[in-house]
Amino acid sequence: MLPMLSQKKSTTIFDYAGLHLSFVQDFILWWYVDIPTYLLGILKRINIVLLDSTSLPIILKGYLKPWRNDYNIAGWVVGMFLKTVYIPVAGFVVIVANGALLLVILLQLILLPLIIAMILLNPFLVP
Amino acid sequence: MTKAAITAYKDKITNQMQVYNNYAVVLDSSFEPFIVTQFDIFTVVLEKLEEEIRYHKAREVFKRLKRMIATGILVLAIPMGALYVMNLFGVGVSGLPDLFIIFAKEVVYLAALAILVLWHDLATTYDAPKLLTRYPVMDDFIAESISQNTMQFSHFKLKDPLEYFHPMTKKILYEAIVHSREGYECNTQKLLQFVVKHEHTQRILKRLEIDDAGEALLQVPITDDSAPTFPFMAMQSFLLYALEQAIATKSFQVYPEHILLAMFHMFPVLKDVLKQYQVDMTTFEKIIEWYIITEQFKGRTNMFNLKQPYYQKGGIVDSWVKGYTFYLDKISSNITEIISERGGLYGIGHTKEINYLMSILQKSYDANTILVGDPGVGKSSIIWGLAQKIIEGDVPPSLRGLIIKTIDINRFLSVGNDLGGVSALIEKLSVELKNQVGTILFFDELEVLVTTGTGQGSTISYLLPLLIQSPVPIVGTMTYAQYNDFEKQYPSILQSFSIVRVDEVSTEDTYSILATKVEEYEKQYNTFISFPALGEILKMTQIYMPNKRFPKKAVEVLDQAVILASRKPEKKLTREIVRETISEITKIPTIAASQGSAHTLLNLEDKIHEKYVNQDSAVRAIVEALQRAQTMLRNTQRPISVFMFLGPTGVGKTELAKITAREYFGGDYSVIRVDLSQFKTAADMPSIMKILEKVTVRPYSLLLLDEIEKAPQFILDMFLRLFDEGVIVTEKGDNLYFNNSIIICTSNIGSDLLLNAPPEEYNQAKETVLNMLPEYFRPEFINRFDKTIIFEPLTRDHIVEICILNLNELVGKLALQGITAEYSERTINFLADIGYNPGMGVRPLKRAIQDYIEANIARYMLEVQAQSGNHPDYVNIDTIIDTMTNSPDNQDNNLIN
Repeated sequence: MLPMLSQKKSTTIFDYAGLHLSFVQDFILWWYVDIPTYLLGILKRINIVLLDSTSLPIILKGYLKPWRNDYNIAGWVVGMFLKTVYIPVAGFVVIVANGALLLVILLQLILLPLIIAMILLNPFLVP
Repeated sequence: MTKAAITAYKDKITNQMQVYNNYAVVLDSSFEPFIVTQFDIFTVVLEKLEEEIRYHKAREVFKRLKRMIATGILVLAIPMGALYVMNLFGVGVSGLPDLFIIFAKEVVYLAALAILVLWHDLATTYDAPKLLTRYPVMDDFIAESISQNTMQFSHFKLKDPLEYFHPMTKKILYEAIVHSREGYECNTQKLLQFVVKHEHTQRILKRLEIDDAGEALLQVPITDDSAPTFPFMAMQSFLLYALEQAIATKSFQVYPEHILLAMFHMFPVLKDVLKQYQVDMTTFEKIIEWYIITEQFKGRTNMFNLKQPYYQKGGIVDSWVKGYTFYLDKISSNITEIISERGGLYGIGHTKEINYLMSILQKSYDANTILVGDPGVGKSSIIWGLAQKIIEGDVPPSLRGLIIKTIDINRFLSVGNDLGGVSALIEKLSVELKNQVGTILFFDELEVLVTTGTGQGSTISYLLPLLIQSPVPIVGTMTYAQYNDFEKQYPSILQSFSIVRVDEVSTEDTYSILATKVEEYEKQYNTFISFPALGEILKMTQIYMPNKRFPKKAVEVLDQAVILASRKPEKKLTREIVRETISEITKIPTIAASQGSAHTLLNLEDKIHEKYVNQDSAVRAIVEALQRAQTMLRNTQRPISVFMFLGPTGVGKTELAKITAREYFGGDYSVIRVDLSQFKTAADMPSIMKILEKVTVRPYSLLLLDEIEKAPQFILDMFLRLFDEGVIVTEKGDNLYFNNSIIICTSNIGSDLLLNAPPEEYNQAKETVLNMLPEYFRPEFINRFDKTIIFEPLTRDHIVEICILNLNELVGKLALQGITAEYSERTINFLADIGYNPGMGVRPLKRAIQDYIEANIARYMLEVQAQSGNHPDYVNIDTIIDTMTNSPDNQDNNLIN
């Protein structure tokens, strides 16, 4: 029989304290790295969906193309006019949606310190 | 090398590395095992693992405590919060003390934190800390360079396997670790018990048709020798092998079933259980892979699933730039959009064809394609596969964002009619397509365009300009036969089209295609589908449906089998139901392998002899061939058997074939009979083929080639391959498969010799006849026969027996009309006297029964009917003979007169 690699060791109270500390570390990392990363991913995806739904990139790329690819003067004029009106409207929708989502990310970041602050300060505040 | 990961070890003393495939447990600390993939290396740091195990229990206690406290705070927060709000607004409660208010608010704030803690718990408990990637199949040189110690690991990333283990897998592993005086030990039997009882393993075993799953595996005689309790060091082997299995099954995490898979390799005694249930390791691995893919596909069409690419449809106003397609939208469906909404997997087994199609579509002109292949090989799935690649962005830049629209020919014609003619529609379409960017048109079965029309001509005549000078790429599908016709009729169209030949999908890919259908069918028919049933579909369709192609034939059988299973009380598709379904489709009773069919086969010889006299060796040869066919002991790549029946006329050669067909193949219609005396020239070939084509409808049949010696040599040459491989090629190039047929050739060669031979010299005469065969046939032709049987001439006793059989048959026919009939020895002797004519076989007897008995009974019946208006109730055949007007004497008199 080959020698045992590991011999049993007794667990000390310090080990348990370490467990608690590692939980706090894990939790903080999760809250400030994993969650914001996920939310940023969602923000990116929502942007893709919004830009696609509003056809903004296509309209911007084809700004100088005629209306419905109909190559004549009228097509160019109508196309340019409609796109000039449409781009600010669609752009506004995208910017507002992005703003709202950034606000959610900001709220997420300040939520944890806010809760902890309330827990700590609550006994000292006037009810 | 077809693996995505290689297990190897390093000898720390000699610094040598070695690849190993024997799944040995490493118990020597001087050896360091590791897994290498195309870009990562995994090694277990034993100290870290030991620490994990040491704290595992403490961590579990801490987790439970954390959940309890958090839940407790949450529960407390509900009434506290309610009281605080009620007090605030003075609803029901008011004037609560300040201290209580502070406490209530504190509980609510703590509850908010508790929610975050529980969320974190949920997020970290149900997934491994890190996810594996799909590793590509490794380059051969890696394994070679490991063995030659020339491997450079500098560009590989070092990874810890434990980070990829699902929490429940870790739990199972750690709980199988026991403390002993020497320290930690790994208890294999305990580990097996935990793994087998896990729900993941249970669901896999259920899909393997192993119902008493856990019990069977746990009863395996695992002894201390076959699977001992290992020292702690063995854990690194268990971890690495489980990880290897996870990589092999394309899993993102290591689940308990991967430990079981590793154990199957490490302890081969476990595989015996699978053998006992007639399932193999591959099926086991396929099921694991299937669960993983199904899980992954669940959220595939969800736009917020970040793991999946989002398909950009173009948005509400993309037509401003891309152009407007009002009429095109009316007559077509957008395949890319359908797939993005429906999900699923397409184009399996056609990667080569899809890549070729993509290279054609990248051309700046004549990017049109016709996908040509046999029916059922999955031609349309190629375009669906391409659409899926476009959605996933897995295409060259020039094909990104393309839209594929499939034209519906019925909608095309109806919109055409509404517009006042197809030509008007074509005109509008041409304008739309001219301004259209990024669209591919798909015509499924291009041939339909030739066969449909509006009365003014076929649809294709209108589409000609569009097809030849299309502003957008056009893709169509056709079978080879259609393509050949099309090539002759419309050579100008084909000049602007490239041809992609579509091959049949392999059985392995067909298996994957069937697996993709499982979830959908289970939901649709509320039926459980086992994976060995899928394997059975492949095996059975390959043998019994050779004239159809994969994957369609397998999918069709799955479709029908699920419907059949859904009608059964168990609602479970098993191998047995698959056999039943194929038996129904092909009309081959033996596939079902039921108790009834086994009974029929065992008694077939007696059953035939109930209606057939003498010729024992011929009957036995046929029955034995059928028994071999039933038990699958035969070679399925050739006919069930090929026999040559020799003998004088009327001894029952053809009759035996007919009776066998009636008793076993289902009826007379199962006999495909070719009388070769009728076909003499090459011009007769189409007629022969037309008769042989019946096999496509009824693959399980009896092919009777009568008077084979009269066939010209070129026909005999054609039969060579038929007898050898069971295949004959028609003039159109289609294959006719006779590998589920019995082929019987009959011949009268040497009849005179046999008839004139005295009984004591009969065996010698038989020898002479056999020796005569090379005069008529080439040796390679004679060699193709499994058995050459010489039929015995009929004696008077045989004629008497046959006479009784025929009279009984006649009595049975009369009984069906409510007429009781009787006969005695007198009739039998009377008929035998007339019917026995040595050398003429049974035919004189048949004529005698027809002329003297049947004709007179018919006359008697009509006379009674004329008198009383009814049939007679009773007929005595003996009396009929006495009183008959059509007696032999009378007939002779008539003849004389």
